[in-house]
Amino acid sequence: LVLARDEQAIRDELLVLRCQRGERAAFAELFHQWERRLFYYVRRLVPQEADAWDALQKTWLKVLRDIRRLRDPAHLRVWLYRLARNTAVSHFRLERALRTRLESEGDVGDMVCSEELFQLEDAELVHHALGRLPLPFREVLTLHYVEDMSLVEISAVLGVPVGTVKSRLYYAKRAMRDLLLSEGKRP
Amino acid sequence: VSENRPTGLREQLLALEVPSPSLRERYENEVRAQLEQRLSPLQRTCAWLSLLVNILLAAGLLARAEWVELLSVPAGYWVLLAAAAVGLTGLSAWSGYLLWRGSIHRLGQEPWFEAFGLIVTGAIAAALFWLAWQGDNLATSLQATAVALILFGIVGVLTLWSVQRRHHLETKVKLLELELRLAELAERLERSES
Repeated sequence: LVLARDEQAIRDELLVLRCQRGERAAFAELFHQWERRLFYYVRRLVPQEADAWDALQKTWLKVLRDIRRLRDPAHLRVWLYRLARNTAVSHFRLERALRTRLESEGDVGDMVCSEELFQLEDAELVHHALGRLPLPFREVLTLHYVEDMSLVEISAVLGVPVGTVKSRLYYAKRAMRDLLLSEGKRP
Repeated sequence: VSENRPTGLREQLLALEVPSPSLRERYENEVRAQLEQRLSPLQRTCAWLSLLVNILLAAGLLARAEWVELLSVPAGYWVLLAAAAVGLTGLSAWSGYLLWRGSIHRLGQEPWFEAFGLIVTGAIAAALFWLAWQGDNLATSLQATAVALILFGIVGVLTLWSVQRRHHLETKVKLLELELRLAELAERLERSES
């Protein structure tokens, strides 16, 4: 018996439809399921913890208001992250920091997907390094490691072309490796 | 070197982000407050007005002396007036409920708002019909009838749209529940085979 989608994807979609039906329990489930993940992401975007909670609270307000208009429930994850990002960016004026053209960024062609740069076994190392990278690198790596998002999904969250995500991810991983090496930690 | 992402990296990373209990508590309180909005003095006044005016209107509709005469008019007409009265009573009941609770829960209110909107519009259309029926002036009666027909048309279309959307949602939920059961079954089969 082969099914096109995994159980979690079906559950997510079902959850959205139950929210669209106005079920309170479904909203509680949605909050419970996504709160920690969204908080981790938003916390990587804003410098203060209090700001991250504020952004998350505003994100939930938007979710409550707009979930009935979510046409494709299968895109819940991307939609939630995009809402959270847009809320944090507009509320804390992060546009400038995110637009900063990183000198190392450039076209990497097809290198990124086929060539990974290092092994990641220690979550603590990743967590520590994430906090020290420039904002654009930090958010792309968070989406990659925490959510295991595809390039297309990350591009939908960030609102940038897939090529940009590809090169950003490549350089972000390299920056993380350099950072860990410079601190004498094994990446 | 190929990247070998450890299973559960997400969980490990999430566990490393330890929130401050006081900030988290403040956030939870604020989210709860957003969901359960206390009525402002203006909203409270509006709810009281709605309660009283709707009760008076409903009572007025039901107590009219012409009511008995209306029973002799074409079938269905008095039913509309009764529906309008029921709608108004429902609105006042809802206002009373809000006043009793002292707050509005933001979740799951939309279907009720929609239903009340439709009932009120239907009641207005019915009242216009009644006026048209009672009026001596043919031109005014025709105008009132035309407006009532337009309102009924709007109510009809919106009701159909709402019912169709709800059915569509229910069908999708049922299909997904079925798909979920199949996925669970597939997983069990896979486990038993392995």
